[in-house]
This record gives sequence, structure tokens and C-alpha cells, in this order.
Amino acid sequence: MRAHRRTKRPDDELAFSTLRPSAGSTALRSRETAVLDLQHQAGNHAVAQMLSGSRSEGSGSRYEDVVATDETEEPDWDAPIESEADERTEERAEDGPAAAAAAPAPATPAAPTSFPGYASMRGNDTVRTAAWAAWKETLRTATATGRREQGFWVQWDGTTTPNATGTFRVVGATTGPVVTAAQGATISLGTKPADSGDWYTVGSFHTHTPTKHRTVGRPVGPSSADLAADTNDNVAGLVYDYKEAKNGNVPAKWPIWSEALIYPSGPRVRS
Amino acid sequence: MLDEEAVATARALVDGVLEVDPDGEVTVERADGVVVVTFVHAGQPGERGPDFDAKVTLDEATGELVEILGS
Repeated sequence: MRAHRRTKRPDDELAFSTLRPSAGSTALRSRETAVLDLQHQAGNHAVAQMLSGSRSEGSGSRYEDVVATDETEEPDWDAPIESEADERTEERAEDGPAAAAAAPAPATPAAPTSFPGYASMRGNDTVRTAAWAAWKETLRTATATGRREQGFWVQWDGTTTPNATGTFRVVGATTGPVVTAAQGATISLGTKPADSGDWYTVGSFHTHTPTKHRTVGRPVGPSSADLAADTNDNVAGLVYDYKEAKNGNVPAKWPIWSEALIYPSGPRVRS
Repeated sequence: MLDEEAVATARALVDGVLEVDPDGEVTVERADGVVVVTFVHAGQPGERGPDFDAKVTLDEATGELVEILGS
């Protein structure tokens, strides 16, 4: 279960104080009640500043109200960093080594024990829709003078199930160089995005190009170079290409909207 | 048909049809009465791309063209 977290803003001081008053501070509450009357005159920001000063005096910590709403939940270490987080850390360090030693060490989120692979990505609506769109664009942009591949990386939200029903997103969408009918098509997806927070890079995707405007046929499916790249990147690769016509090839002038499929390339699942 | 002859024949057949690196790696394989000349594609590290720029299949006895594949 994900912990609820809220980034503190100056205007939030009043709201947090109202919800979670400092314990054992009657005088402080009186002062806070008094300044509430100023809210409509001076505005939230001014009131917030006054309250902040009061708490600093009364409790020794101006941040005690900024806590997770459910303390039984684990903190979300991957949430966006609050602008004041560094400041808070410095203040704690100034309390001395004993205080620093008493502070709880941040927990490292547990890494997933399994990842979704080729079949999961191929069956996921987000990935499938993006793959189909890329394939259509690849076909529609192919002309007698040029054609190019398209591709992207696939990331998975590690807090969701590692199968087709999990949450995926595609990132780093790119196109390969435009090549002539006499050249082979290539694509470089760039450096694999590092795992970040809950998002894990689990797959690569790219298209192959039609032979509609070419005088030669070609093999279908992933090449050895595709397999090597996906193996090296430790991702399950997906390649959109035509279904073979004969002997693993499609001939020249192959009808552009011929049957196609998504082939696996490299590992079926990342490690 | 010697390997050198097969390569020269294949190179002449793809000239103007497919771009091959004149100084690139070329392999020659024989099987079932054909000679397969492959002009290996020199890819960049991390690149997803073809294994060859051209693959030319010749009849081993006559040297006639059987098939040209691109990538």
C-alpha cells in the first residue's frame, strides 16, 4: 500500500496545524487562534509565517506537523523530493551526532522479484497500442525514396503486477535514419533508461521496414544484431515485422499492409 | 566456382541494387548446390539493424543467380 505524502507549501502550514495541533501547547494554540483572525486581512502566507515562528518557539521543530497521514505505512521514498528536504537534513545534523545516530535510516524500496516479459508486454494495451501506432507510421512513411524504423523503450511500474495487466509506459520514442531502397534500415534507441523509482525498463521495441518499394526481399523477424542488442541491454525485445512469406523471408514489392506480428528478440524477460 | 569468383560475381550482381561496403567483411558458404555470398553489415555498437547488406545465392555449378536478399 502506498503511503500518502504531501509536499508542504507555506500556505499549507495553517491546514496542517488545524489537522494536527502540537501536543501540550495550550499557549501556542491560543496564539494560533488569535492570528486566525488576521487570515482574511493578511492572507494565508502571512499567517503561515507567524504560525511557523510560534511552533519553532514552542516545540523546537517547525516541521513536526509535516508527516505522513498514516504512520503505519511505509514512506514513499520515490516521491518527488520536497524543496525543503535538504534544509531539514541540515538542521538535524546540527543537533549533534547523537541526534543524527538516533534518526531512522531511510529504507531502500525492495526490488521486484520478477519482471514482465515479452508475452506480458505484447498483451498489454499500452504497449500494444504504441507498437501498432509505430508500425502504421513506419508503413505510411515508406516511399520509393526512403523509409525508416521506429522504436522505443518499455517501462513497467514495479508496484503493479508483472504481467499484461500491469502498468506500462513507453519512453524514448525515436526513429532511425531514413535510408534508400538500396540500404538496410537501422535504429539506435540510445542508452537504456535507468530504473528510476518504481519504474523499471523491461523491454525494447522497434519496427522493420516494408519492401513495397524495393527490388529485393529480406528476412523477417529479429536479426542477430537485434538479439545481441537486447541481450546486451538486458531487456525483452519486441520487433514488429511481416509474417514470413517463404523460407523466413518476404519478397520485393510485398504488399504494404500484409499480415504482420510482434516477434520476440533477445531474452524473454529481463533479469 | 572458386570463392573469389563467387564474390566477384555477387558483387557485380548487387552493384546498383544494394549498397555494400567495398572493404567490408564477406563470407562464402556452400550447401546443396548453391554458393551463398554474404556482405556483412558493419553495425554500430548498440545499434539494432541488419546482419548483412546483401546476401547473394548463386548456383554452384553454373554461377547463375538464384536469389538476392537485402535487409
